[in-house]
Amino acid sequence: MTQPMPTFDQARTDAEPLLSVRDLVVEYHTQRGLVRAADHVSFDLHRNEVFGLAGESGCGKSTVAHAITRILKPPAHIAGGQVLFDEVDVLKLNDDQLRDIRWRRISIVFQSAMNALSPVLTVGTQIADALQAHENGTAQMTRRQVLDRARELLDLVGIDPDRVNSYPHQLSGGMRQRVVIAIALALNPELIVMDEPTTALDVVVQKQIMDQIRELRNQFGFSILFISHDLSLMVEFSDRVGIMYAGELVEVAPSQAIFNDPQHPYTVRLMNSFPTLSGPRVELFGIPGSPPDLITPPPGCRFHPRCDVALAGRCQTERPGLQPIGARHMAACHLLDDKIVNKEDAS
Amino acid sequence: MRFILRRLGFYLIALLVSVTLNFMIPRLMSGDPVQLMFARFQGRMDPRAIESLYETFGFVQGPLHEQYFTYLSHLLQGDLGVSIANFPIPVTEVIAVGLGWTLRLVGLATVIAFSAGIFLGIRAAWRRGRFADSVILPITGLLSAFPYFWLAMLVLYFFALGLGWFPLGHAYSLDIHQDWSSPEYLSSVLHHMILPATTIVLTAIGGWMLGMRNNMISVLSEDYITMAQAKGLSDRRVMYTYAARNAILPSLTGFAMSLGFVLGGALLTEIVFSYPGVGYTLLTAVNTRDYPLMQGVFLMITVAVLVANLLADTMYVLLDPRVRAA
Repeated sequence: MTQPMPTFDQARTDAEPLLSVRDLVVEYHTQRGLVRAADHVSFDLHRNEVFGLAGESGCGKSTVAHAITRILKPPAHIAGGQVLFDEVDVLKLNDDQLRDIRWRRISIVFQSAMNALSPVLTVGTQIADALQAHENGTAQMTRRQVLDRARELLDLVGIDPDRVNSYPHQLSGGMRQRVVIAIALALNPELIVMDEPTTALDVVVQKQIMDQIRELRNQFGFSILFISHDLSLMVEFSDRVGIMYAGELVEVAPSQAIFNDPQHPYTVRLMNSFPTLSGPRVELFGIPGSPPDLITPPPGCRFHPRCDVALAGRCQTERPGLQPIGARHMAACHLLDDKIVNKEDAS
Repeated sequence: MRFILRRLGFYLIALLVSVTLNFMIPRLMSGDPVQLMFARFQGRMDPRAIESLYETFGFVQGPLHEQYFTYLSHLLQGDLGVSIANFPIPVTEVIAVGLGWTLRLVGLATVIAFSAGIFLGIRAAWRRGRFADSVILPITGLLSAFPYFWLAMLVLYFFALGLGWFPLGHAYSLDIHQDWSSPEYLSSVLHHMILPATTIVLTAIGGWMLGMRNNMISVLSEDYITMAQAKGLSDRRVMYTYAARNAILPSLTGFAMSLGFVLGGALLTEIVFSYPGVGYTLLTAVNTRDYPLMQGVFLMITVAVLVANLLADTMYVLLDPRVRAA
């Protein structure tokens, strides 16, 4: 797992990836022992791309998102790896450098919009804060300009600009989420990390908000790291998807390939357990068993105890690594060994 | 605004109830309380004081409701009667003198203890397990667990009696002319204030600090704090505008209420340091059975607590937008 991950996206991008995560390891110190919530996770995210991270609750997808933006709180800590953002390792930045790239270049949309806004400050103040914290980075703005920009941002996400003086409790859940998105857009960042941006909302509002995000992305051209456990939403919204299981990436592929031609047994089962928004009614299957305890993960492939096609022996002892199995398609499964292609063939 | 008016209405009713109780209590005693009181003084009381006692309690000839309205109208005119022990000085005047000293000493000490406690609580929560949290917090906690009078006497014994750095009691040197514009008098007042104020601050700071620290810690785990940090805001901005601003709300209510009790004087402090504040006045009134004065002090404390509560409500409305809509 330590050798650099081969890249398969040269056909798509000539430039370096915007974000390149390499062998990221995040551990939680708990009373029962050490939990590896992210274990050597590696992926690339290109400019203008939407990359999705999906998986069951507790698979480590939010941990990865928080590690990239360095907002992990103890007892979590980053035990290794690199997060190269525009070729600079975010994990090595000091506080001032970090503060400088935060929001100006990478912003975050939080999981629960209900709690992402301070209840005692107006929406306008919380937008203005982001603008003013980075005055040095952008142009000096007067109070008036800051307010105008705040109104403009609210207008962008479809909220009446006069709401700038409202407090969060005066807004509905959907409106709050829009405000959080407006704040994320404030400084025209290159990357927006969206951690379950619509999970707390009902399906209709969810759809409206996802459409809005798509529209804004077309307009401003930022990249998105999209975290969700909702596979159908993810496949519909992302360009490429990474599937996580028990702290590891098990498959990375364009979302069409994940949808039509999943390779890893876990992905296959995951796809069968979700209804699609459109398309024929099919019978849904759950995945028997539950995700492993990460303090004592199973040896070999972490999915083998729940896998119905696991090979006795190899799957139980040898850990599979992510291998290229097709153009821009990678998976970590011993059963796919015969499909492994080498780098040259893929490009 | 409507919220405040509604609260105001509530407090007016509470005030009326307490005033009525104040009126009723002397009447619940069997016999004529004034005569009883007079008898207890065994001729040491100025006969002219009887008149004023009757008036204080509203004992005019006539049915109860007439007496009640006489009493109320006296109250509205700010007439609480005449102090028996200090005859013929009106009760209001006696209280006013004590109140001045109490406000300066206990008021100042409470504000200092609150501000310092809140500030230390913020620091302790922000840097958990560091100096403020692991050293200052246990010390202030220990101090607030001391029996107050014991700490006060200890301080008095060492710093006033033993080392002689501070005076043994009273609010200013009696050989200095009482004149607020004279620097000599001012420094004497300050000098007399230091020991009692320090004991109050030392014992009160722990509660504020612990309360604020705990509120801060629960607020710090909120998503909006993480989001504020991710926005690249400075630590100061996150700590004060986002975290402390939310965490301080419960403490503020406590603070406003404690301001109400400030007016009641710090009884033990004023006794140990012979400080001529409201608490000391009350003690004297009890010792000399000066009923009008006692009643006056109790009424003042009731009103002060009610006003402080109203203040707390108003402050809450100003600081927490969620209450405004309610």
